[in-house]
Amino acid sequence: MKIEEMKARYKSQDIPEFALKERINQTIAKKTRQWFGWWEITIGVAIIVASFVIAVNTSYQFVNATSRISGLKDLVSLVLVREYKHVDKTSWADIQVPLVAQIDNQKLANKLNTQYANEGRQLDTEFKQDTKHRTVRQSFSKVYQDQKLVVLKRRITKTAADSLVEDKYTVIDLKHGLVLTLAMLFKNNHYQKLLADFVNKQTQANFKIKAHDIKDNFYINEQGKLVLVFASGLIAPAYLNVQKVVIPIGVIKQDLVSTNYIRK
Amino acid sequence: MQEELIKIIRHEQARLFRLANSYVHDEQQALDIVQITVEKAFRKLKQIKEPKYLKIWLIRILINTAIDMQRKNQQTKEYTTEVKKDLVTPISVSLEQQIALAEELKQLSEMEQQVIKLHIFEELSLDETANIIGKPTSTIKSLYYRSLKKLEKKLGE
Repeated sequence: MKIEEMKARYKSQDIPEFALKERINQTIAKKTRQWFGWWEITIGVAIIVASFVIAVNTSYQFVNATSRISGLKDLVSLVLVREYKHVDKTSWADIQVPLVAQIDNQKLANKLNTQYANEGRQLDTEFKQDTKHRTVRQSFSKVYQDQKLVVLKRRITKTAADSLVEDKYTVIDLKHGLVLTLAMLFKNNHYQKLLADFVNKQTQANFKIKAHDIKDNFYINEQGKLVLVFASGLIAPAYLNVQKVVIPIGVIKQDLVSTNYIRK
Repeated sequence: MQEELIKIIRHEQARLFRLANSYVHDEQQALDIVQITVEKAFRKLKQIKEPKYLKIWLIRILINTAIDMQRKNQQTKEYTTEVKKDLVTPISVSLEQQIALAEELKQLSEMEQQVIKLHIFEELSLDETANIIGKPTSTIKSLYYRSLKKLEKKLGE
């Protein structure tokens, strides 16, 4: 590895811009907030509630408009639906299973929720049978949402002497009610080899992957770039945690069905 | 001054995240580090008289926060890595030629790593790098050439 390669690798870290901006905005808001007196807040809240109640009850158009404003309706969210917990002297588990909420497409929601519930239950069963992994944990979060896509993520951490961290992403096209897979984005099966070759160029000799290791664990980031996600220890030493590889569009453009999703 | 700070935070956010991530290699923790840095910066803003030092000061806070977090991680991970060392047979020389970025940097001292990250990776000037680390520019300059040589030797092996 040359220094320029090291620099390129450093610079190619995927930045979760949505989450980063949100964190920074929250902190700035917290630090610069100006407090009103309690009576100002009370009056303010009362006015807002009153006008909202009156508007919703008297105006059909208002109800119609609110259902179209994003943030009041369109924002998909994840809520905790079930939690498998287990604690004893030598092991513990905390498996949080998400439920996709506030999504218009009920069929899609059902499909995802069944999948999440099944995989959560499976983790719990495996934990109970397996004597090796002594802690298991699953958490979830929404990575971002824009006009086209929603990206959801579940993080699974299993620990014994060694730890395994795995991030599972779900990429949803809301408009068409689809969960995206790599096969849908590419013209033919050649993409697996193409992507594996690209990843192998960047990994050490003892961390080479095969074409069939390219599974559907990926997302499309806010800039419209394809990002492949690998569990810890798969393409780099395990202590480096989950690894992400951003694929430049130049590498895959010819094989893409369209530049509708992957744009850059 | 508060407005200048906000402007600089927004302008430098990607750089702050990359630097944080290079210490902890974990997205969530890197986000935590950036958040703690921003909080600290607001809390201690009164100390700063000159807006032109804000950027350097902010990066310095970030690095200190990241090192703290990294130290905490190592304390919890100590047991697991010890076990791992025993299990893994020594890596052969040919494999050593292509070690991952983090592993390469681990060969250098903490300060040398900082110089490489700030001056080469983040393209900050030697003066800025020196100010962030808190050493004279001349010291940083010689440190830079030394670590570069050291690194090239390691990479060439």
